[in-house]
Amino acid sequence: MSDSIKEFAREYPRFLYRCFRLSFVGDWKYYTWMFLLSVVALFGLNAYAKQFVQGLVTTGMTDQVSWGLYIANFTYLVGIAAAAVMLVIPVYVYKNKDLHNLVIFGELLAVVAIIMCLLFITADLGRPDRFHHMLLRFNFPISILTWDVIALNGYLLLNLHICGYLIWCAYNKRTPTKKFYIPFVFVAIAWAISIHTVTAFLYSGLGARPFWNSAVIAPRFLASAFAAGPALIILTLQVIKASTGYPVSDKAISTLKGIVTVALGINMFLLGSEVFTEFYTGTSHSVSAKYLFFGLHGHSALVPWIWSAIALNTFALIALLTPASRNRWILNAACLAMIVGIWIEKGMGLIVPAFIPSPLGEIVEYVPTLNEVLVCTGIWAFGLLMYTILVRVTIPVLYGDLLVDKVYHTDPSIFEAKQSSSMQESAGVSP
Amino acid sequence: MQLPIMNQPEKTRDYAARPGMTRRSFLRTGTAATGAVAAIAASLSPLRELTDTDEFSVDRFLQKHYKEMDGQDMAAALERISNAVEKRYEVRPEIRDYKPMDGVEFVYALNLTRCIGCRKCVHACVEENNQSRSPEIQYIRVLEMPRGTTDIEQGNHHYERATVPSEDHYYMPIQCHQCANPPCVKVCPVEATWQEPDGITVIDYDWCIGCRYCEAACPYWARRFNFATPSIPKDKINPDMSYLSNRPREKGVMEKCHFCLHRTRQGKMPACLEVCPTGARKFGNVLDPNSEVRKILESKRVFVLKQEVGTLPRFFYYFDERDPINETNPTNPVNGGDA
Amino acid sequence: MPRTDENENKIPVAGYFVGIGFLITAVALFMTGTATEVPQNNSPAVRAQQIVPGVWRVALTDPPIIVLESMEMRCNHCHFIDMKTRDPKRGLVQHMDIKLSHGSNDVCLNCHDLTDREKLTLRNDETIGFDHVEQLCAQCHGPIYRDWQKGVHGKTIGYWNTDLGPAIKLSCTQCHDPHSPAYDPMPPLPGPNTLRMGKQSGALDIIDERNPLQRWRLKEGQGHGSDGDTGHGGDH
Repeated sequence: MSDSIKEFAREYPRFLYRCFRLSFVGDWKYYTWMFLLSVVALFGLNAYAKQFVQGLVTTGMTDQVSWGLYIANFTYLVGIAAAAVMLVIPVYVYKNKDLHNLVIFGELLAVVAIIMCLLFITADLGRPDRFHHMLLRFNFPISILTWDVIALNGYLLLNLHICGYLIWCAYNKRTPTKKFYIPFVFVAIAWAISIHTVTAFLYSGLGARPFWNSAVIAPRFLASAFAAGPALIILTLQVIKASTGYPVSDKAISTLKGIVTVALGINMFLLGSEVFTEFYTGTSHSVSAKYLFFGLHGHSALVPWIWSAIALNTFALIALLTPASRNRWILNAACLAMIVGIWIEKGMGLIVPAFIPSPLGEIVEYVPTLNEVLVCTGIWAFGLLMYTILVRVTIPVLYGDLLVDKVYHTDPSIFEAKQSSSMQESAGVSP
Repeated sequence: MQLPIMNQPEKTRDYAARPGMTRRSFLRTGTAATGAVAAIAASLSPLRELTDTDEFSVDRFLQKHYKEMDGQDMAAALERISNAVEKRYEVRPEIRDYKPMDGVEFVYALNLTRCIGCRKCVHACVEENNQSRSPEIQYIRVLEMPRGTTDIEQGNHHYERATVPSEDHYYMPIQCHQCANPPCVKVCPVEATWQEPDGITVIDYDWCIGCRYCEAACPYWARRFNFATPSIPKDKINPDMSYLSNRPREKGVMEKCHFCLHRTRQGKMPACLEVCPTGARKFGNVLDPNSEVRKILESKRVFVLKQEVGTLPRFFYYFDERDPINETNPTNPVNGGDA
Repeated sequence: MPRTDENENKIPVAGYFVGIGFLITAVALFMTGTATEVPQNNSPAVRAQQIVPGVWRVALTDPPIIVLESMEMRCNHCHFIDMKTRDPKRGLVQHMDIKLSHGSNDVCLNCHDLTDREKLTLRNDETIGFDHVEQLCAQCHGPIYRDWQKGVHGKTIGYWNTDLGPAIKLSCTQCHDPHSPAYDPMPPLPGPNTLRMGKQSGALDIIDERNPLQRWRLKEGQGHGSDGDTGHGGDH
């Protein structure tokens, strides 16, 4: 027993170090990509440093609109993280073979998305230096925000464990022990639903904001997440396939396409239900919806946003429902359209309008500042950077190129010589 | 789709292992590392502007939550705050920690027939409570309401008139309602805000993490956030301060009306009441059967704002019954006409 | 287990480009400065005289003393002659500065005592000092007086807790000018100018369709109910 611990203590740092080294190896496209992401991330860090010194006055937020782009991105990314279950459920519950070797990329995406969520929350805090107060006086279970802290960090740990364990086993050429990860996978499935539900409850639990105070927010969040998340995964898998040659079958893509289509359809239906309830009843509680869709007393900053979101989502849904989406480019365009459309719908279309007009009826509009946008793009760039590195080191492990007792000698960008048949064995990391 | 590779690696070398240093690889790595370090340093360079030593001091960092501080902790905290205030505003403040009195529950009542919308309460509050002038923070909003509605969303916050009141409107000042069921307290993740036994919902400015969830949760828009370090003219500092009320705040924390806790817990009236020219504002201990507010609650037809949200405010509004003598006299303006 | 860590690694030439690229980034970042521009509030400060707490106006006491050109005057300095025969309807020749606007109560001697001008007169011909003015007012303003007695009408300053200090209950004339009891309209102090508030119109002539009263008035006649000033309709 102590020998195996000693071995672990010796080999695990070495594994991490080799991964670290490997993340600096690549072709010129890899370098260019990583360099550009680093530059954008650094500009974001710079913008955040300014915000840290001057305060949130550097953002477009006000006492009237007290949450903006940061919380919008946070909400969106919680959805992306939750959407990993749309790969996990087919594989682990329905034993889908096509997604079998791809599920790890969804889980890695979840890890990155949660880290980005935590960064967006940190960026949104007025006093990030007091984060430890959370540990000292945690208002659980009264504050839904504390539920969210537990949900998000728990989900991060679950996914880190599942991915880390499977990759570590593959690296050591061991067959993963089921009891060490299967229970966690099923907990993670329930947990994924809960992270987005709890995030929705953050908003729908506020009686002060009639626009959010609706039972349909949580289902809407899940539906939009299960559309935007797998759509992002469809695009990501194609990029992974194109740049590394990792096998991504057409059947896998079409399974995901099916999920996306249903989820987007449900999302549009729920949005329609919301719109009907708001406008047909016509109580004074529908002023925010009126502001969002049509503008109020000459203020209409959000009107173009919501209508472009609706246009993008409608286009995506029509494209997906017609045979046109068999064309890969049309499918990709539809995925991109809904990724953007749902981002707008959740941010500019759901977070911001609840603050306009203010509870006292004052209309102050929200326009993000450049500094705020830089922080956001910086976090997105940092997220992509993390995801690229994770994929970069995971693929050679799955291929059996980076193993505990093997000299790593093949740049994983070169898969020309590899046949997909040899892939099937080495990708034994998936169940 | 295969991508061009710049250097075909040799099969015998472990690219995932530690590099042996040759001069060329050292130079390459060195250039890249130097560039990266320089870029990170440059991106963090705005942090040079962090000059306020108190804001990030160790004492500050280790300071306990208000409810966990004993007398000694509080004395140390007050000393630290006094020094910081003195350093910044060149005024030695008198900061104390006033505790709630037994058998006291504060209630505010506001007579909408008497309020003329002069906004004196707004500005007296700013002076009393050391509120930031830039960015502007005010606890009280006065709404000019069209007659015929009590829907505050139809109120005008930004009325500019030569004189008030306007004949066709009434005026509704709104500030923290010190709810008995406060949604802002419920949502705070770190218990930085809570309801005191005398009914005042307070904030520990040194504990708040600035998530602004309470601001989203308040149906009366009573909470304010310090988006920047408050700016208060040195000659305008009110040196009579307390820990939970009007000591100067820092950037990144919430603040709100606290019924002038440093005055009212010494038995005095709040500043907004003292300045009101028409006596529209009434304050007192509702548990005292002889208090003015108790008499108002018993004899007037009082109401609260947004009762449907279930917050149980301690801030009541009422209209006076009209005095028939002056109903017939059309020359008298609406307000004060029945006096 | 074979160890290959000592093998030479080649970071491609890209390392140079990356390094130079980062240096350029560093320069670009330095050039953005250490702060970003944020809005400042330049609204003029409210003067201390505009927000004086406490008593709203100085009321006469008993006996009333009037300061005229820094001379302390008593009423009976002038009103020493017997004026019982005075025609109460005669116009004023003195006290022309007094604007009497007290509704139907438009005769001086309704309140002022005919024989002793330093006293006030009640309906039952009793006289009271100026410090008991509420008894005079109460003769007509019964409901208000009862409210005042309970502390429901009027202004009480000082201490709400009388164990700790005095509660000062203002009398009628410490707020109301007895000759013109309605408050004079006054200019309001500046409205809010919060961070990034944008252009806020204080004067929009929107009649909100959600306001039942306004809607009805709109039907009755164009612009009826407007007092000809700004802010009508009370919306943004």
